[in-house]
Amino acid sequence: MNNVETLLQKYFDAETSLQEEALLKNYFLTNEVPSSLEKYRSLFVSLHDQHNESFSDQHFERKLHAKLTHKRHSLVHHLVLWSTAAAASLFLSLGTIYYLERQNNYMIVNGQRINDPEKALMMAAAKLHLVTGNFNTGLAQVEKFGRVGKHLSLVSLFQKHDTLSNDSATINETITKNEN
Amino acid sequence: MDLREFEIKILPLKNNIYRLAKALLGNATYAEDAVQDVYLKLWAQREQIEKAENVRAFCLQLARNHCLDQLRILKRNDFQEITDDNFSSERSPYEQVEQQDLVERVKQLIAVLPEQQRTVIHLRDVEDLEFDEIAQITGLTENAIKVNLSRARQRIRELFNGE
Repeated sequence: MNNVETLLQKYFDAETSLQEEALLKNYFLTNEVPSSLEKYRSLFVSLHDQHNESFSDQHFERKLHAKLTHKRHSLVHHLVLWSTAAAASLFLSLGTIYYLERQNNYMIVNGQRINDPEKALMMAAAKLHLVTGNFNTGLAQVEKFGRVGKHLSLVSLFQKHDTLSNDSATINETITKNEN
Repeated sequence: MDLREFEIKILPLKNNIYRLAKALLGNATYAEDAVQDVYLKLWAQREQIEKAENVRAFCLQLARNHCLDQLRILKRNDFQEITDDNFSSERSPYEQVEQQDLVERVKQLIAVLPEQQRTVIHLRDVEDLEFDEIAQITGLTENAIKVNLSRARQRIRELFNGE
C-alpha cells in the first residue's frame, strides 16, 4: 500500500515510467483499494474508458477506399479535362490573335501606313473636312448656274409668249381676210 | 506507398487519431469528421509517411495540427459536449452511479484543461506513449511535457481532494 501511495505521488509529479503507470492502472482497476485511495479509482477508470474508446463508423474503411480510388481516377480525369480545355483555349487565343493581326485596320496617307486608330480618325476627319469644304464651294458654283438657268428659262418663257402673240396676230389677220 | 500499403499501415491508427481528435475538439461528431479529413491529408502526404522515423507519431502530429486548425476555425474553447461512454463494473448500482459521476467529472476536467496540458495528458495517460514520441507529436521538449503533465495531473488531484 505504501508502495502505491509513493507511486501515486510520483505519478502526480509526472515522474513515473510507463511501466509504473501500468502498475498503477492495473492496481486501481482490478483490486479492492483502501478507502483513502478509493477516490482515485475513478481517475484510472476514466483513463481506461477513454483508452478503449474506438471510432464507431463501421463503414469507414470502405468509404475511405472508395474516396481514395475515386480521387485517383478523378485526378486523371481532371488532368485530361484540363489539358483539353487548356489546348482549346490556346488554340482559340492564337486563332484570335492571327485573325486580328490579319484584320488589323490601317490607313495609308501619302504612302504612309498609320496603325494608330486615333490618329487615323483625326486624319480621316481632316480629309473629310477638306472634301466637304470643296464640295460646299462647288455647290455654291452650281447654285449660281442654277440661278442663271432660272433666268434663262424665264427668257424662253417670254420668247414663247411673244411667239404666241405673233401667231394670234396672224390668226386675227387671216380671220379678217376671210370675213372680207 | 500504394493504396493497399497505406490501408495496411495507416488504417489501424484510426482509433488513436479519433481519440486524439475527440480529446482536442471535445465532440464526437467533429472528431469523426476530423478523422476523414486527416486520412485524406495523410494520403496526400503518403510519401512523407514513408520517410518518417515513427509513422504513428507522424500521423498523430498531422491529426493534432488539423484539430488545432479546426479549433481556430470553430473558435471553440468550451468543451461541453462529452459523449456517453460505456461504463461497466462489478460494483453495486449505487457505487456505479457515484463512480460514474466522478469518471465523467474527470473527463470534463481534462476537456477544459489548457490545450497543451490536455494533449499531453491524453497522449501519456490514454494512449500510453513515451515522452520522446509525445515530443515528436507536439514539438515540445521532454521537460515541457513533464511540466504540462504534472500540472494536468495535479488539477485532477485537486478535484478529488475537494470532494
